[in-house]
Amino acid sequence: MLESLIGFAVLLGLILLRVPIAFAMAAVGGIGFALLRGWQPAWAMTGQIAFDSALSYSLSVIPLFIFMGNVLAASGVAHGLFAAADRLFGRTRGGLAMASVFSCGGFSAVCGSSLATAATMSKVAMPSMRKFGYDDRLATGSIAAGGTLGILIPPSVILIIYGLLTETNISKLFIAGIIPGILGVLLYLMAVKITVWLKPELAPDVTENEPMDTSDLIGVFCVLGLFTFIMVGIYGGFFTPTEAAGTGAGAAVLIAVGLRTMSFRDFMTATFDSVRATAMIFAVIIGAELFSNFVNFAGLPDGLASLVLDLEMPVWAVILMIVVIYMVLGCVLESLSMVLLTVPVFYPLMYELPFTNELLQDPEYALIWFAIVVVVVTEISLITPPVGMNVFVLKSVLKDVSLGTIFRGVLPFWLADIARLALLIAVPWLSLWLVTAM
Amino acid sequence: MAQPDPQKTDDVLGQNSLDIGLIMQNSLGVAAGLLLFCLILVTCVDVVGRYFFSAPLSGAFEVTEIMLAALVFTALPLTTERREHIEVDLLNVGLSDKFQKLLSAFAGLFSAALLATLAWRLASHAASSFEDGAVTNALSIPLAPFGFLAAFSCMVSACIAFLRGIHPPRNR
Amino acid sequence: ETTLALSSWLPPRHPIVVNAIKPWAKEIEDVTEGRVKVRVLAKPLGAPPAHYDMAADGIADITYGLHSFTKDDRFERSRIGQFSFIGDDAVSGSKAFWEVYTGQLDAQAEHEGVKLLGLFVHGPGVLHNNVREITTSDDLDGLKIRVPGGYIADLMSDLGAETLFMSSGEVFEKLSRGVIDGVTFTYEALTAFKLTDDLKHTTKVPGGLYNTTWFLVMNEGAWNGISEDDRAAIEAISGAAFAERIGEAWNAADEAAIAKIAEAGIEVSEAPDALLNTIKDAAAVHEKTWSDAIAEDGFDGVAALTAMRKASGVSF
Ligand code: NA
Ligand code: NA
Repeated sequence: MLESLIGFAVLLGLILLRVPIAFAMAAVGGIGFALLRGWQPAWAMTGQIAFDSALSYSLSVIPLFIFMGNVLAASGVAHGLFAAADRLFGRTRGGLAMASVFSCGGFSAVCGSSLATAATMSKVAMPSMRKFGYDDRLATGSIAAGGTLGILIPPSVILIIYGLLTETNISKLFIAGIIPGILGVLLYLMAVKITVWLKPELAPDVTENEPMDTSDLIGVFCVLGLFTFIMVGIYGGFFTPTEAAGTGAGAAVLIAVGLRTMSFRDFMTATFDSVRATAMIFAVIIGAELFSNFVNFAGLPDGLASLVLDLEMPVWAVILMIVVIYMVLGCVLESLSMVLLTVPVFYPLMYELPFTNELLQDPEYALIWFAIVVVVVTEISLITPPVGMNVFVLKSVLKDVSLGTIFRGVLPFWLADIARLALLIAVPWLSLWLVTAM
Repeated sequence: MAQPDPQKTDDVLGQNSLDIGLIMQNSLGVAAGLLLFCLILVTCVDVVGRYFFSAPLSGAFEVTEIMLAALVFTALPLTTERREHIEVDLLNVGLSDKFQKLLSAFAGLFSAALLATLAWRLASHAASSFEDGAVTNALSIPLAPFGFLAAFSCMVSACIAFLRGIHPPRNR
Repeated sequence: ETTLALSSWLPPRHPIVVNAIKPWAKEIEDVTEGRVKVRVLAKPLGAPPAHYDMAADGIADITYGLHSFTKDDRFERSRIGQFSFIGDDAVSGSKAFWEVYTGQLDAQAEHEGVKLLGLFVHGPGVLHNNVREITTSDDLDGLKIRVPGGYIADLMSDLGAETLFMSSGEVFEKLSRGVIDGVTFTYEALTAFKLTDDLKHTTKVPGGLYNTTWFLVMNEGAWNGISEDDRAAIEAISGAAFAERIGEAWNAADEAAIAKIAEAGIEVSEAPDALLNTIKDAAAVHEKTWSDAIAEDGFDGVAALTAMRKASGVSF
């Protein structure tokens, strides 16, 4: 167990020296394994893991969903979503911020990444909020936070990775994300409401609606249709997630071509972005597999399980401890590497913990519920300083706004997230109901 | 999961960056893009064949696996060239230019060493797959060529990272 | 004092992990009076198919897995355990497989670079479908059957079925959507993958329609690092004793499954003589191909098969 902690410390050091996280994890994992076990086995393991990790049917869903999201981002449907949401909320104080949150949730339903959701929605919603004189704090905060929904509302790259790490059914994980995702949207809307009630000066009264034309409307229907198609396909067992992603990506291309809003150049950019993002994700997966083999071999998951069981810690205390660890790590680490690093350590606990909740006594359900908890804490990390990737996305789009402003703007949403986390932990039924009904 | 910083794209390898990046995009990028389209096509043909013609594509899952591996490794040098591997910029603020450069050099050389090691291990793994005659389960597709592709890709990535290590960019 | 790492890729609650692998690992500590401990890792160190090489390369000390994971000819003689009519239950089948494969077929020679600690098979493989009762091979015509590959895939297509390959996790979805009509599985797998609602008929033959063969191996260096006394103590609870232990775990799982299958109203029927004879004829062709292939290395496959069926007590 000591070896693992040293490993984590060295890893953190390398990350702070700005070594790419994937390579830092691979190096510490490989060398750590070699020190415990010998160089020969470590060399053999390295080649095997590097090759086997990419040779995976269930992970082929990753490039497909990324490409689907990128094509839809380029096709301009995001504007339709925003304009439609504006018709729901526009005439109230803070309406544009609520529309931003709501349309972020909508775009999350076809995009598997939080960063891509935030990046796409910021291009649509920010100009409008600025035009009407919204305070930068509220405007950026609502998009940075709304964007985090990308990894909770299915499809979700993080849930796919979690499924891979724990051998949990990805279809079930996706279904489990729906209600917590909707809950997230509702709580964010409340956060906007409360914020503008406390500080009316942050949001002016806006009497105009965001302009909307037919192609916007068609775009909204396409997004709705695509999400329904994917979810019904997965829920009804018509397709595997990979097949849903493949056909969804095909449909996204047809939508973009049909809307005539995407140039060939945009299309190629979306393609190149997708393949590079895929390689980036797999580099982290390979590094994390190597690192987790080292940690596993050094006995961290076992040590942790026996520690928890020997101390007879109550379940809630264990979960609280895990959540606190995630919150601390989440200050510095980015979501994907955080999940890849920690889930292998914690998930074996889900088989061991003496849950009193009847649903959670089935380890399959405990793993699904834990997935939702992990994703929500990961979402929080995306907007927690000092390293909040979604905040950085907003910053890169709006160069004149300071990071501090965005982090302050995110605060009400961060509090809403904590409330949601507590609710999801206390009421596992929220995450599991749709799955049990499947 | 696209890294959102549009600035990072062009200033990576000094003045030559545009050329190398463009050449790679037009070769590896196009190849990876085609693999992605094939991946979409295979799943669509499988699903449509199954539900409309009751003729599923047998072994589609194996073709999918193999194409994913090929796609990942074809695209890896592109990701490396664009510096899109996830990094954490925590010590960025308040450091002198010289120290920044030193950090960049360290990260570049470290990455190069690691990628070269991976290339070596993948080549050796592929060589033993070749000797054993390892093939996929259903369609008996030989695995060794994909191992060598992976090794080659890591080697190219290692070279890119090495060049960056000895010519660290001015900012970031 | 030595601690050995065992990499286990089946789910932690799988019946053979809980009832055979872990108890065996625990018992090693007892029989060596604590000098050798086996640690079952919380998470496997590689993909399931990598597990044989992982033991050979020393990534883990002890691993188990299926011979069919390896698609090359390394374990050619192990295929004796994959044929039809091999054993009516997992105990007799596993013990016979251990005895014959390590005896006249020199299993250790095919398991180069590792110490062979155990060999086993699961319960008899049967054919499940949701279209009709299979009484002749005509009933199989055009049925879409999921097969794992290898001998059973060839046998099923010889009999006229349309064979499809997919991972076992996909079977549920494909079956419930009518993409496939049936599957060759054990009883245990039928319930483990929750297929009771989607199947109606099960066809069995004496000694099973097919089987799969498994190994339990240890890194050679790690084995040689243990004292002779301890090695003897470990061997005493491995090999045939392990075959019995793990066979019992499979049997218990099969029995529980058979009860659930009966509860679900799935009709289980013995293949009538005519069908059985058709299967025997088709099987004989594959058995001959295999025994001819190993005859080149000086092994008598026909005699080995006869010995194995005699040892497991299959009458057909
Ligand atoms: Na999403
Ligand atoms: Na953070």
